Amino acid sequence: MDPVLSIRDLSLDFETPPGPVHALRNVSLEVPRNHIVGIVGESGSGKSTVIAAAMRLLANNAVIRGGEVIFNGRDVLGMNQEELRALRGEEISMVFQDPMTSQIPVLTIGRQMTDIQYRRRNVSMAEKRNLAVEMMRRVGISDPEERLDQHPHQFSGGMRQRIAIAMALLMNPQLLIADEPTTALDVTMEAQIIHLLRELKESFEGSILFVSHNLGLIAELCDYVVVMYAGEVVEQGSVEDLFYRASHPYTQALLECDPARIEDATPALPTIPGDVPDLHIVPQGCVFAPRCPRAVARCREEPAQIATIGAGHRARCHLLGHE
Amino acid sequence: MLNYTLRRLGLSIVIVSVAMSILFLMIHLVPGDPVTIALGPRATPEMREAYRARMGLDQPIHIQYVVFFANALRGDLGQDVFSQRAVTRIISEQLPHTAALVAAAIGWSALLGIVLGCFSAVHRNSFFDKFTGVITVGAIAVPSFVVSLYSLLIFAVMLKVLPAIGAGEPGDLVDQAQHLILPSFALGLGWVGYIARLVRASMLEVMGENYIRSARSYGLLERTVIYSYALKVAILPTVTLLGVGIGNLLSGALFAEIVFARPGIGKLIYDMVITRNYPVVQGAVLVTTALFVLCAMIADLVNASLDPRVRASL
Repeated sequence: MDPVLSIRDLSLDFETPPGPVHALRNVSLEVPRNHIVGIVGESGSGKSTVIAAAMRLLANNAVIRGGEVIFNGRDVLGMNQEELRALRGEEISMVFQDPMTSQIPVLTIGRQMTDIQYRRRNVSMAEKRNLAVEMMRRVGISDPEERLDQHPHQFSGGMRQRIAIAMALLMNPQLLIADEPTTALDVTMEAQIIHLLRELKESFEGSILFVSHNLGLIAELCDYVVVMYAGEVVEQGSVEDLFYRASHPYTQALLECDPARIEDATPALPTIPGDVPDLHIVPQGCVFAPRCPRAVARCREEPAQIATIGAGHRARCHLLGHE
Repeated sequence: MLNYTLRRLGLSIVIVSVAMSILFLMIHLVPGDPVTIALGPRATPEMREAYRARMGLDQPIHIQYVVFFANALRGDLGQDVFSQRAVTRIISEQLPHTAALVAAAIGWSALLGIVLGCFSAVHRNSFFDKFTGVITVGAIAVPSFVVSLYSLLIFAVMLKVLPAIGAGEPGDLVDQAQHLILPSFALGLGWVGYIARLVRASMLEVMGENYIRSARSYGLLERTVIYSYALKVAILPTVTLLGVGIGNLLSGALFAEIVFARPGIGKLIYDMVITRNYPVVQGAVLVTTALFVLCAMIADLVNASLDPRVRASL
């Protein structure tokens, strides 16, 4: 079956006063139907930019340099405003990072949830409200009838994220994009939201593209994982591939730094030395070479090519191609 | 909402009481004898004594303070020194003229200012935005008496299409409305600028908020996002500005009232200060202060009805 979303060779710059930032370079990834795909990477790796590009919710200074974003066989990058509006909400929708600022503060949740259903022309207001009540119940809000008349500030962060998920799923989209949906929440809430997402994936029969920097969440929730570094996909594969057979030195380093995997008490947590490169000037060789413990001369001179490790498991590294 | 209204009303009463106390103290603490100021240096001692007794100025100060409050609560703000007419009556004759002028001025400037500001924000950096930017800043910079004089010169003297001075025939609403056009234009022009700049700035801020991005991610129509969502949040500071603006203009319409020779509160205070008619000045200042507090309170209540977060505070 066709993937629901397929991004091929996407390159994107942000125009800034000192010059363009090459934020994405030849990014390719696929979201298969009825699966959960995770994108993992440090801050500034371009993971949020990829998903913003998938919905065309990019900042004004973003310039797409090449590639395509295919959703259900249609090119999202070629869509006009009208087509994009039809796509958003109805076919792809999104849950954002900060639940405290995701809803309009001056309108009731019920009003916002009926507004989202404006395309259901033959459905009465009472029926739209019932659908909203049902969706609120599905995401675990108790007393939804009464709570629909409340305003966003009357809900806690965890509940607001549940409501954001309810709003995103209201039109039964085929793809839900979740951009670090638990980063702003405490650990208990985080576990609940992850549980909810997994439950919803079963009941609403769609795919989820889940963005996080938390490897534990990715391992728990996702079927496939895409690892991004400095605007490139460095490794992708099934969750088993990534966690048991990590091939790219960056993925390996990330796993070593995950506090959840460190068993012995250490005076200092391990880190990857160095910083994410400044993407005004893209390095000539592999982007990770300056921080890579295994880099050889060739890594600094030539861009790394994608090497296939197994079925669906690929990594962008010089050391892998010739093994 | 009822709870908020009651608390806000209580706060207003406290503010007016404090303002009244300050007004009372200012009158009694400023150097110089009020009697001499009122009657002039050549009044006879008998006249002074009679005046002092009539105004209650021979009483101890705390008694005067209580009497001042009690009288004000009964609606008695004293009498005109010369005509002996009740101050409340004089004010109530002038107030409708000022109220009509301020309502007309703020009314048209709010409508135009909100539309211009909103449009500028939506079409940010367009030619229209830059053009209105220049025009609105210009409108703020030109003093209202200059606008008054030139609009008088152009429309009343040269073109002769609108009446020049006065408030129109009593009872003739069409005539009174025609007399309102020029002064309300002159008074409101600067406000178009203020309101347009404020609406533009707060619209731009709100359009950058996460909830607007979320609303777009649900595929909502752009007009829903802008006019039903963004404008509803962005209008809140403007409501506050309008409340303060109306309150301010009630005594600040002075220039327009003088240039167009209209009756009104500003003109009244001006005339009475010139003739040292103390009780009228005091009464008029008190009434405009109370109205100012009232306008600010109404603005807050409107804000509270628009923004549930405000209702939860205070």
